[in-house]
Amino acid sequence: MTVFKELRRFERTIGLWFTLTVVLIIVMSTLSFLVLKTVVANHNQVVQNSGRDLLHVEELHLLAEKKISHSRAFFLSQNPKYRYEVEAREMEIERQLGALEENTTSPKGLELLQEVKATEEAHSVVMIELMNGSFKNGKDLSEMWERVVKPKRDELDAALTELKNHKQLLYQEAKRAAGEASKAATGLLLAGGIISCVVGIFLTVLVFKTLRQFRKHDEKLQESSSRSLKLTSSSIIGVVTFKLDDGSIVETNSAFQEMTGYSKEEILNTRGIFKKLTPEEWTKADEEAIAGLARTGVYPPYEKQLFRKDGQRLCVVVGMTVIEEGSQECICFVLDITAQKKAEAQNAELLKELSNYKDAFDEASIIATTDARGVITSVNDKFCEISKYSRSELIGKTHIVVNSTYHSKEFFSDLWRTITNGKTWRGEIKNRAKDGSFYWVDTVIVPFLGAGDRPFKYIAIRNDITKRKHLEDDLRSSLAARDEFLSIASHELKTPLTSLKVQVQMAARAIRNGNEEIYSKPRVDTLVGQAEKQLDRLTRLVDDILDVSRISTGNFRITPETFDLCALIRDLLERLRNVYPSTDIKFPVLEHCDPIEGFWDKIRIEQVVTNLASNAIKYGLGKEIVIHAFKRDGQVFLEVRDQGVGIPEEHLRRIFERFERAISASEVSGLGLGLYITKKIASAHGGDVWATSVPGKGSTFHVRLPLITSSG
Amino acid sequence: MKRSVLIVDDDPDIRFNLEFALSTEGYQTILADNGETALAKLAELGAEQLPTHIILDIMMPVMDGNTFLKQLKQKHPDWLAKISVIVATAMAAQLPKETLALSSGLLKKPFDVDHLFDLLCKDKPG
Repeated sequence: MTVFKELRRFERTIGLWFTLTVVLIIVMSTLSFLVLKTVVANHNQVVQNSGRDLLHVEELHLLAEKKISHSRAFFLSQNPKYRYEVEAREMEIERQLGALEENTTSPKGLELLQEVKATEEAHSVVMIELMNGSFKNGKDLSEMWERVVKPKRDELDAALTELKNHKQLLYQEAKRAAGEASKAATGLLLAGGIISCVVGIFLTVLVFKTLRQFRKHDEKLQESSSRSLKLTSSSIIGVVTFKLDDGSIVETNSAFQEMTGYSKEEILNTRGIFKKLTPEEWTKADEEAIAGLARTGVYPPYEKQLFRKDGQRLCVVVGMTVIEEGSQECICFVLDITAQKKAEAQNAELLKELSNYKDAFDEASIIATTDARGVITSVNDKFCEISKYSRSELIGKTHIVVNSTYHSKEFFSDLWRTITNGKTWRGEIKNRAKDGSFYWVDTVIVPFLGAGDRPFKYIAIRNDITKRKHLEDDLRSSLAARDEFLSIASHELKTPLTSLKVQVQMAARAIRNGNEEIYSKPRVDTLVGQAEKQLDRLTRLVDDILDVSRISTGNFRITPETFDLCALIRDLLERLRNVYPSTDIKFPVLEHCDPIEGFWDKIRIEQVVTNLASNAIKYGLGKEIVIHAFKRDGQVFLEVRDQGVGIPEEHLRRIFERFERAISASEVSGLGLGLYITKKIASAHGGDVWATSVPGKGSTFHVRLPLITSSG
Repeated sequence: MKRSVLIVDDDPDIRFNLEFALSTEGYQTILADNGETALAKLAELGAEQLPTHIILDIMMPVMDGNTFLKQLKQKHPDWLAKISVIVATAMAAQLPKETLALSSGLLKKPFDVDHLFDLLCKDKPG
């Protein structure tokens, strides 16, 4: 626990500071005292010595003066008493000099002393010589005195004065040094006092501060312990106190007991209770947590499971911490989240199912959602795919983006009325994609109702029915075409039947009325020829209808054989000429034609030539018709050219469709299947048919067939 | 009064056979292959020599039977009043009301000749 840690740290800091300060003060005081004592003592000694030396020198001077005056008295009186006085002064002088020599340390002092000694000796020598001599008169003596003794005396005087001056100087210096030393010692003492004061104040502040910290920590500690107490008594969070080293539980609260179903005694007294509580697969997580706890003192909360006493599993979140740093006691908080986990799992399952539904919808349908105003808020991939708009081009727009303008305003206002009233709208909508193509969608729009049953969102589920719509259109038009065909077919079939019926019933009527004589031989010939023509016509019509039926059911097949196209055309024209005996039409003429051998269906190719030739006769206004067959570039071309009414440009393609005829043609009737069948025959051979025309000047029909031989 | 019939049909075989049948029964016949030629023929004959009957096909190129009747009613309503129009068609179900109103008889192709002659015997009322 950090509170303990901090306390310990403060304790350490304060101890350190305290020790340091005390040591510092003691050292400082001692040092100051010692230094002061030594310095002062030294300087006093020096001053004392210097004073004494000075006194010695003064005394020396005095003694020298005394010696001189005694010697003078001796010279003048020759009284041995003065000589004795002189010698006594001599000895005193020597003693003083010895004492001075002892005390003098400086070289300058010693030098001066030596000089004094030397001059003194010289002076003594001169004096002794004089005292041993005998002087007759005072004049001689005075002369001798002035000549010999006075200079020596002056020298000694000078040396002594110099020594005195030197000693005086030393004494002054010693006095000054002593004064300075005492000043310095006083300063040092003052500094020591100030430093001690500062340190003392600092220490006091530190102590106060630390005390405050201690108080704060104490409060914190109290607070945390009261908090812990609250936590422990909490009825929601299970609390377990345990020992890190052996895992034994020392305390639990009632919440933990209720959670696990064990009594407090059972928990505290059962050996290995931890193992009993924890399912095997979770022991590893626990071990990691314990290891983390031992390492850092805390471990982040983690989820695990617990066994209740009754064997049921609990899902819990566990948080652990060491109670006090370095302590083995840990507290563990346990929160039961079994119910939440269950709900979470149910939610996840629900979400998964919802997302599965969504995936299925996205896979199956075109889906868009809009807000209450119809602004698109989301579209799925299929929407983008069919509309060819990107998601960003759609979101934020309304469905006007894909409006094809096919539907009326009322159509959409009905749609909006329905869905804004909270009802589902169903219908088929034709939309326009980005590239301008149209698509049809079978649409269901479901409003999502909010407060007051007002829609706040719409979901539109659409399915592409473009193909179906096209099929429906195709079916509708093919039904219309079939109806038209049936009516034309019935008309065309009934026409020859009408003629035949009139003929047959007239014959019956003639027999009934007894006037058979009207049937003369030439008349019967004509009528029979007529009847045959009607029958041929009927047969051809039935064949055409069958062919169309075969084509439309995919049963149209060709049976190829090798033959000469030119020969086939020539034979055919010959037969046709027999069928049309009348002379008022010009028969088709075959232009020069070298044999063209190919591997085709002979009957079908014959049909092609017949159809094109009869068309030319029908529409050719009785003018010249030319057939031309030739080979070019490994292909065979057949052209039938008439000079009839011609075909307008816009009909050139249409005439090859089923049940179509060039409407402008007059005087002609028929099923309009001829060209359609012709085209199918050509394409079944891998060829093609087309027409070119100048209206009013005639048309040319072209057939292209690949030149195939039986071997190839 | 000599009965004369204008046969209007685009199919030459039907014209041929009807002409044969009617002439056998003593009718005078006039032939036209569509509405336009029929109108021209009537104009050629004039009010005095109008046929008593018209056998009219409906589906014809250039001018069909319906248009022919409409134009005749517009141009010569007096003529139409005098002539009995027998419509002969393979598609009787698709006849417009106007055509039915203006015709006095209907023949569904292929028709019975007896029925044709019955219709021809009926005079225009009034």
